[in-house]
Amino acid sequence: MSRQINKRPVVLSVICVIGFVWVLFNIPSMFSPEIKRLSDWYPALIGIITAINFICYIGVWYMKKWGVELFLLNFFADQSLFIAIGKFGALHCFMGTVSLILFLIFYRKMDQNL
Amino acid sequence: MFLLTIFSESFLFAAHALRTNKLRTFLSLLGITIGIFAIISVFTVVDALEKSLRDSVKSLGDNVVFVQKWPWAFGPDYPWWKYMNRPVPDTDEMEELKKRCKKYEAAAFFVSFNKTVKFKSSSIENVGIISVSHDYEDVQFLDIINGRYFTEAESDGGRAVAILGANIADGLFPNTDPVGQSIKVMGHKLMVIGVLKKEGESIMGTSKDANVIIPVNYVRNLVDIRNDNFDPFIMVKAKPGVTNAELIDELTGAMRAIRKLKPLADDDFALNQTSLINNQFDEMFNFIGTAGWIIGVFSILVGGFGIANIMFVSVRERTNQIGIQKALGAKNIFILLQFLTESVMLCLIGGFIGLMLIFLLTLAIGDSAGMDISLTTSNIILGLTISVLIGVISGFVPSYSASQLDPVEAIRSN
Repeated sequence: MSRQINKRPVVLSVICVIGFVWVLFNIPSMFSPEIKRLSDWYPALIGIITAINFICYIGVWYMKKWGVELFLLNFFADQSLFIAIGKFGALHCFMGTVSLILFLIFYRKMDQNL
Repeated sequence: MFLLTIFSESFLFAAHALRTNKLRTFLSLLGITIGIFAIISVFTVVDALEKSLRDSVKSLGDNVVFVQKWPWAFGPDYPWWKYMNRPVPDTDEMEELKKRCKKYEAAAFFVSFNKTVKFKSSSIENVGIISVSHDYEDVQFLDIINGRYFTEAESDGGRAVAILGANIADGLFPNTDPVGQSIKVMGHKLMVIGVLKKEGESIMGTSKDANVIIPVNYVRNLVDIRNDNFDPFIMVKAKPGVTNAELIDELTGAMRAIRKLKPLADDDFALNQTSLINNQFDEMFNFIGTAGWIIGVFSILVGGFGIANIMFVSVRERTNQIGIQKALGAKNIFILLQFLTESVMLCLIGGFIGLMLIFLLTLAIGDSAGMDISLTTSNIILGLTISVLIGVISGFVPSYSASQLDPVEAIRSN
């Protein structure tokens, strides 16, 4: 039953560590008065997206395909939400795109089980 | 149905953990409770303060421009020495503005100072005497519950009449109707013709409860209304459909012409509007909000570590059980969600207790201090969201490690 974890490339380790730190720094955006003013539910939405983002990085850390797949979905949900509320961030989008490209490069080496 | 089963089972596991390890679970929940309490209580107080301040500013009028000597907002390179020599606005300038401008609905002159107000043997010190021209009622909403506003003849003729704020009326006339009585201000008798409805405390002092309103044409016989210390100003209300920017454009041109300023000369007046104060509030509340978040995030981090710890212990204690579950066919996702839900449930319980404490605190503060403070829906949602977020972040790794356990090794473990 025990599965061999594929060796994680250094670049993915670096991206994951940056991702964990990014998630921590992204939490304050939930408290932003601008976000709170938009709707009572936007902070909750951002919170869910942040939590899923964290789970994605855990998945990639363990070299799991579901991590990349979840990241892809979450990335589009995240960007759509920020565009919808007029808070599109170029740096945020760039970071996500770079991470996504790197994840997809190593996607075939990842484990498809949970 | 599958998710419902997982959630109900996980809730039972969480409840079981609470029951069997009361002290350990209580200490772990305490971290989350304190964290949520810290963050949400700061936001609740800030929200109450912000609402009170913004309501006070709103009472000045969103569509009113104040022609004054001093600007309300200024930066670090504030040339106060230039403003010092500016003249203060006066009633003649207001009349000229009325002739030259077309985009205003009403304009009023306003000057205030503090004096003692007496009625027979009763007196109230430091009462704000508001001296206004007749159109003041059209610029600012006055809710007169007893009596009436000045007639045009009383305002223009400078008759000795006064309208009292609710606190002054209650203080000087506790058992009698103030309307028709005479009060004394600076030794002069004034007949009370109206009483304002009680507005309540205002954080910025915009409440008229402790004021007496008198026609400016009467007051000009008692004091020098152009005294710099009284900060006289002209209030100009925009016509419906006219923006403040359009009104300010017109007022700037008119005031420059009235004061005969050369084309290259700087304005020697300030045109203030409430949005200037609101902008400063935005900066201030963003700063307070950030400070509140920094205080709370450390408590939440400690709480998160506590939950992660308890979840690792929980997985370790139930390794044997996990092995049996997997041997009987439980999928990895089931084990993962089971522990993750348990972690989220624990955090939610902690967060809920924190929110309940804030709710009780707001009730206590509201009753004792008479402050309008309440736990808003947005703060409840925020508190619960943070709880779920911390539950997911701190519980995912222990849950994932539980889901990856080998069933044979897990069953063998003690």
